[in-house]
Amino acid sequence: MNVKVISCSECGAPLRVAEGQFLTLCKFCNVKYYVKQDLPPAITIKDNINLAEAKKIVLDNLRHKDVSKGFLANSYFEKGTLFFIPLIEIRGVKARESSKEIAGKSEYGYTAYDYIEHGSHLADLEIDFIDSSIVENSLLNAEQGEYDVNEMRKRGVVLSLKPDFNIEKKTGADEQTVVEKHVRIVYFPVWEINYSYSGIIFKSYISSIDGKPIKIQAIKNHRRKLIFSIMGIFSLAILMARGLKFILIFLTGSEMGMEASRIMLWFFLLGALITIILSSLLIPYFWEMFAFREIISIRQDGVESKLINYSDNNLMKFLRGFLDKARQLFSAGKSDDG
Amino acid sequence: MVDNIKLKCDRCSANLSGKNNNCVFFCLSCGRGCDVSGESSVFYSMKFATPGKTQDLPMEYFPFWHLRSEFSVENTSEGNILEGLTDFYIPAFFIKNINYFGDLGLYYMQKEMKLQYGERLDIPVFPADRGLIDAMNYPYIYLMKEYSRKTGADYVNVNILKTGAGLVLIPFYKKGHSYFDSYLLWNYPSGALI
Repeated sequence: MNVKVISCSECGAPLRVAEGQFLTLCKFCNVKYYVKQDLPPAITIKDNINLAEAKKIVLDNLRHKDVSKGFLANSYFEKGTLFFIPLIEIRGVKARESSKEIAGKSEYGYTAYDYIEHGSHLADLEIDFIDSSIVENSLLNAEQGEYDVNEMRKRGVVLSLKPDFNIEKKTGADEQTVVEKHVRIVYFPVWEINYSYSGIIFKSYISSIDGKPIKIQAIKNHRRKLIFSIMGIFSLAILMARGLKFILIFLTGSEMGMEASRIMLWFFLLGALITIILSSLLIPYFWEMFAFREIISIRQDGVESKLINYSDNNLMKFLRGFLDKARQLFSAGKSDDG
Repeated sequence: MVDNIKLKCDRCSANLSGKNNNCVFFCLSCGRGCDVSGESSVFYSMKFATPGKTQDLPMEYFPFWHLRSEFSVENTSEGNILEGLTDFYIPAFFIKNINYFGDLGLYYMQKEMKLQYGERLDIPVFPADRGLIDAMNYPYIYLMKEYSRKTGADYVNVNILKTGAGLVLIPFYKKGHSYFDSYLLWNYPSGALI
């Protein structure tokens, strides 16, 4: 954040003015100044949610149906950070598109406009945007706080404005039709709640004005996927058994063949049963294996998921150990033969 | 906009009150408002309205520009000309999504509001972020809206002949996260006014 220094005209004391700060007070002679800045004035929105409340909101939202059932019980709170995110608000009055002239010369068609856009790249956060409907709804019940950069920094992290920020766009109208235009920076308070699950850090974001969740991050619930997997294994076993039975009939073409195929059928059904029992025993491993691979982000506009790097879990360790032992045995057998 | 200016009352030299994004700063003891939205800072006299309807709720003063304007409105298709003198109370704060929440200044004009004035109450003042330059657009807009609403005319010509300007602080009531004015009891969510 850039800081401009001006001198008090009464006592000459240097006064530091941060970007967006239009008011400053000389502490020596108690004179208040209005300082014109290149950037528009900034305001802070009062935050009404404290850390404990933000944590509770995240916990409540982790009971979502798409979140893995064991996630909530086995995740641990790491830290909470209050972010002040700059938004650019451009608002005013413009003549309607059909108007030919402005300032009341020929037509009465005037309408208000109000646009909000991100003033920061959000590079420090694990969100690339905040849904405009969340911002608008939160701001509707908001109250203006005192804009004090030092106070904001004491309480949290103040994100800087993006360097390519341009106040001249987004009025939604030709400049000729704009009758009134106000631009300002609105610092929107957002809680970032960090928690860990099996060594992975998850980040959720909550509007600190009204506690609306912006993004909730967790592990995906794979129960449905597992059920489908087991059903798939079972169906495959039956299909294989029936297929082999028909092959056997085709090859032998006799009563003996029918008898043999019946034996084969029972044999493969037994195989399917063993497959299912093994699958059931491996469920915790499968569960863990699946769980470590997909993180979901629950937003207002839906649920999105992304694959993360594979984590070395128990099943993989077991399989790798098994393969290593098999390889050793195989190489030992070969050397004995030699 | 002006460069660095001292926010001191031109009468009593007290520091003026206001917030960071304000265009108007107030000296409540002298009843003066300083507008910094123009080329130079200008002081205006300020009056304190008494509450129109009494409610047992906390109050806050909301700043309005009081413009007394002589005007003429011409219906371009019919050639009728209406002339008059009227009081406009233009909110010195910005109302968000005004097409939805409604323009209180327009309603005051439609109701031909007569405010009662009295002593200043010891209540906070809501920040004012609309200067006189922007407020001066509104008599045109209000007259056009009102005249076309009354007559159904599509095209009207509005001329503001003369305007006197001052500031008025009108008490609003606060209930939860919303404010309503003490005259029409028109309700706004707090966020629509910041």
